[in-house]
Amino acid sequence: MLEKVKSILLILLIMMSLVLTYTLWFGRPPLQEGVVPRYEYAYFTHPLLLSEIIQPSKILFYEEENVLHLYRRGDQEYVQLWDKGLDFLDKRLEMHNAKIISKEDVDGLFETFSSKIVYLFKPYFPLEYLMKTTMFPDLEIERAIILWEEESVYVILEGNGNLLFPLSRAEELYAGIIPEGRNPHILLSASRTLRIPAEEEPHIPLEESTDDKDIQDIQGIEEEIIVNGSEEDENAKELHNWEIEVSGDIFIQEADIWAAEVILKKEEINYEQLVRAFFFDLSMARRIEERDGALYFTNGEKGLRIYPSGLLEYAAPRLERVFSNMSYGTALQKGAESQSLYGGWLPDMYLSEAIHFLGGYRFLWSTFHEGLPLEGENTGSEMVINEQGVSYYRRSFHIVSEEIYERKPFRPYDEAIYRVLSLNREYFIEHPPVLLSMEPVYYRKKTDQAVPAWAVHFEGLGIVYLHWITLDPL
Amino acid sequence: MKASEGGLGGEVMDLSKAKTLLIVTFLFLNIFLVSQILLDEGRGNLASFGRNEEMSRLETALQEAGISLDVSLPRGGLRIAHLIVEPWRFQPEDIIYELWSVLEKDETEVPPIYEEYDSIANDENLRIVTYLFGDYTLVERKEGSLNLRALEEGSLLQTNSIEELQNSAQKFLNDFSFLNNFIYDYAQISQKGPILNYRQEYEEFPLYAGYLQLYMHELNPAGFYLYRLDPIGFAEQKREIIPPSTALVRFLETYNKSNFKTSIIEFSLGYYSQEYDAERWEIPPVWRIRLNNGEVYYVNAFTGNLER
Repeated sequence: MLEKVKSILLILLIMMSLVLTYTLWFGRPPLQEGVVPRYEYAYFTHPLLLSEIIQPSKILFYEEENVLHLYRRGDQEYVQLWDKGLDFLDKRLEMHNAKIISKEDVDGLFETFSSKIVYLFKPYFPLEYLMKTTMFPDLEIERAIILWEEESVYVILEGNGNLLFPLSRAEELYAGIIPEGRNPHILLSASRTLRIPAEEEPHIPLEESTDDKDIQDIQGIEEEIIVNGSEEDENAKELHNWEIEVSGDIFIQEADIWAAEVILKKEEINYEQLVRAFFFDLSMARRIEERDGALYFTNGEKGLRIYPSGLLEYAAPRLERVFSNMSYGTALQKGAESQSLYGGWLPDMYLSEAIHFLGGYRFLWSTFHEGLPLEGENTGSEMVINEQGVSYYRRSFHIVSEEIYERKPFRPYDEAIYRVLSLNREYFIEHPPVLLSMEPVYYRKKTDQAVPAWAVHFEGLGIVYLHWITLDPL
Repeated sequence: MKASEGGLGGEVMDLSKAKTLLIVTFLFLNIFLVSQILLDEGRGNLASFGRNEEMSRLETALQEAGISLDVSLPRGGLRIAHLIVEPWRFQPEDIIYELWSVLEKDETEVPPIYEEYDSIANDENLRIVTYLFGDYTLVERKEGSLNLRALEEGSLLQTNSIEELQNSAQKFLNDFSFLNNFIYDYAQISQKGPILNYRQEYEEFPLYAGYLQLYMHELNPAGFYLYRLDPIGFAEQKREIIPPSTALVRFLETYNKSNFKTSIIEFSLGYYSQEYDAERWEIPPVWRIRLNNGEVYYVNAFTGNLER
């Protein structure tokens, strides 16, 4: 009996010693380990391929006799053209065939050839995304130009260096890089000037508008224009006859641009997944319900605010740097990867701006609907990034749900220019008007609605958005 | 037969002796192991197998910062969650009536209340309302903090002990429905006289974010700063907090060395966040580090970041 008790006691003591040894040895983690957060990469959408990160801002096709066709982001034709163009450039360009040429040579070749396709990149396209090369690691492409004649094909990559690639077998071009549809445009180039004399005041055909409110608005404008035109003010007369300098290339569609007001719906996003993407571990982020209905998550080091409108804003001040030497290509790649993580990519979402500053890069993305960008306050996405990571992120995407009323054509571009001039008469008396850019857009004026608009940018003024029918400032 | 019996008996005896020997050996081993574990916990994880290097690192960091550790570190290893709170909702008039009835001992009627609005740089978020009643002012900030001041301040001479002040203050607090659940925290001496600090508590965890600072002149309260919260409960998701030694290292990394001899006089676990103007929010657990020079620091017990 005693032996049995001894045996049981011994077994218990042995087991207890094992447990105590384990507790003592592994009971608590060493200091330097602490609590290691679970690092979950929960991508909303797959990260993009390098060649998908930047796509052309516009694609131009110069037909013989110098007829210009333009294809914008969000167009079906644009998507097909770039797919085929990228495939062509990827397969046909070999670095050992490249010749360095001057800017004058580029201009000379451009004028010589009548058939050409130009892929305009704004922001620039890093060469390293197109081909592996150690020769030109920092080359950023502003224009990729394909020129051809019957027998020969040339590709020019133009940017902070210019490379010429002579190719052969022109017939392969016809396999797809030439657009099937046509979309003629005129170019308001830097060398031209636009004169708007007083006697050519814009005529606004009221019969084109069927909406009562629009008619009232249009009548208001017409009256205002007539009043301005009849003023004895010398300054007003002077204004009407001023020449407008056009800075840079502005492309205007020859045919009417038809559009309608649209209803927008908020991007659907899984906010729990989103918070996890920023904080890796939900238990690390504390939640604050603000009085305006916004939700704020913070761990004391970084904060994510989700507004009732769907706008989300993230800031990590400790990641801001005084100086960053990250390369453009790396920044783009990290930015695109972060975009995949922080909400993902939407169809027709494109990088629209890339700004380098001492502390890193600032990227802006926007969405397009049938070739027109969706603009407006806090619309799209903004990211500030450096080697340390994303220090600021903003996202507010809306998807076009349906059109309201019937489609109507945009007012002619020169009427829109006139409208901006008349709205800023005092300013332009002091400052000669320099037109920097002008394009048709969708302008989000309410959370759930967007209006087609002319976005007109004069030097010294911000971008002015004008209603596409009434030309009222938005 | 005898030999075989004796042999078997001898084997039984040897086995029995061996068992006894092993039992004694394992008993001593277990006593040693238990003592090591208890020692480890008593030192707040400072001395245990595999952490001598860290202990030495911590001691070096303390020396470099010119700080001595006058208290033992508490136990870590807890799994807890954020604390959910809401702002304390009140009507200023109700507070004023209650204050008046206690301060003036119901001897006179509540005088007319004057309101003054002040908004810094037209920022609605910084809006301040000052209520004037009798010889008192009550300042309400947008996030919900209250500051009571008597227009005529009493003597700054201090002849009473902290215990006497505390007893007197406690009687004062017991008279108010909105102050009587505050728990005495610590006292400090300022240029305006002694200040008694009180805090809130929720389920035995100190809630440092809800506080009352009581200014004493002699044995009489001369004014207070009050920021009160309504705890709702704990969030669902629990996680392990960082050990106190880790929190101490993180604090020392950010601490600016003082020319004076500084020591840590309190190291405790509670809940703290800055004051928010919000509907509801979560407060993280923190390690509070209080120094002998009056400075108080809060290290987030989940992230190790200093809460500001």
